[in-house]
Amino acid sequence: MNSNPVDATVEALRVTLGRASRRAEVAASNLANVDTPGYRSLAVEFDDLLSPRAELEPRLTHPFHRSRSADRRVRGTLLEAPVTRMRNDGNSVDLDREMTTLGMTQGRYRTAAELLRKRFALLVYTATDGRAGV
Amino acid sequence: MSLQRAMAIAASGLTAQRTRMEVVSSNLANARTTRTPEGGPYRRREPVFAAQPFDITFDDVVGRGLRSVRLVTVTRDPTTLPLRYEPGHPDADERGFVAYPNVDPVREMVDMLSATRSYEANVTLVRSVREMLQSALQILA
Amino acid sequence: MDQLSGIQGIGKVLPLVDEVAGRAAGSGSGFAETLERAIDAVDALQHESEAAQHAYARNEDVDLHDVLIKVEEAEVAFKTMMEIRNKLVEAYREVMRMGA
Repeated sequence: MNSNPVDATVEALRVTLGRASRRAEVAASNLANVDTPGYRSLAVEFDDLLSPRAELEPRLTHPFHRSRSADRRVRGTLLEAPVTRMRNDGNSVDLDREMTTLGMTQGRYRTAAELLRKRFALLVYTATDGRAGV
Repeated sequence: MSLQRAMAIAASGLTAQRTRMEVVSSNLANARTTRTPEGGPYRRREPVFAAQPFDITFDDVVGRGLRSVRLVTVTRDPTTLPLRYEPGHPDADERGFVAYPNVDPVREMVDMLSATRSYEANVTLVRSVREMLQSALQILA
Repeated sequence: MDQLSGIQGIGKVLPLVDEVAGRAAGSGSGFAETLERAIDAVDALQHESEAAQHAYARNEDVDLHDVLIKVEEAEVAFKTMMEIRNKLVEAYREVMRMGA
């Protein structure tokens, strides 16, 4: 977690994109193995939310600070998904659940990217007195 | 890297389901084949798949837990071949019985539907990931 | 005065700016210090942006969105810095016009 994010909103949205990415690759693993005998469906969990700072009402502060952490990768815990169905061969992939989750994941990713675009545009607009951005 | 990994894993899934479809097609095409080059009637084929660690070099727990899928082998179904009494048949044995393939067309069609649905699911994932990558570019817009 | 264009030019102007910042009305934020901080930050973010792009080009384990965000952050910082620089130049010119 960045201790000095460039902008709290940017950081929150960046984490959202990271989490959605991890969810997408877990979905890929499950769907590729939808018929593999003995394969247990995977799920990924993340540490409870972002730090409270990120949830503060966004202030248009100076859009940058100086120190930044090197490792920005969003990390989570991989675990076995709750079993909603089990085949005789031990495969527990729930295709309907996977497709539903995938749709939500993609939606969140797209939304977060769009919000990021607007956030950067707003920062530039603010910084340049309305001459650029937005 | 996550999205690219997702694509690669999905690709393995597409290949696996495609193989399934091909095996089913072979079974259906040879459902009544009583003579094969190896001798004897056609035996039902069945693909065997296994989950494969995708890339163990990734230094994060999630990356190491991901699995692609690979074909281990295509086995011959060992269940007993059905015998039919057809004394005039060129492949009849000395008692007049003909051994037929242990292929049940109904079961094969069910497998084909399953493979198709699984294939489509992987296609949907590829499409979704591609759209995610495209929306990432929006950040620069 | 072409000394005022470009970052190096601003560096020469900075000693003067301390005086200007003190005198110019409504410049409570202190343009000089702000600009200096801005330049440092732009530099750091620029390096991060380039490092991320190189990592992506080498197909290292980096997410596309992280690369793009770093690129955008560097650009926003740069534009902000340029804006501060422009305001600085304007303030300086204003003071010069007042006669000295």
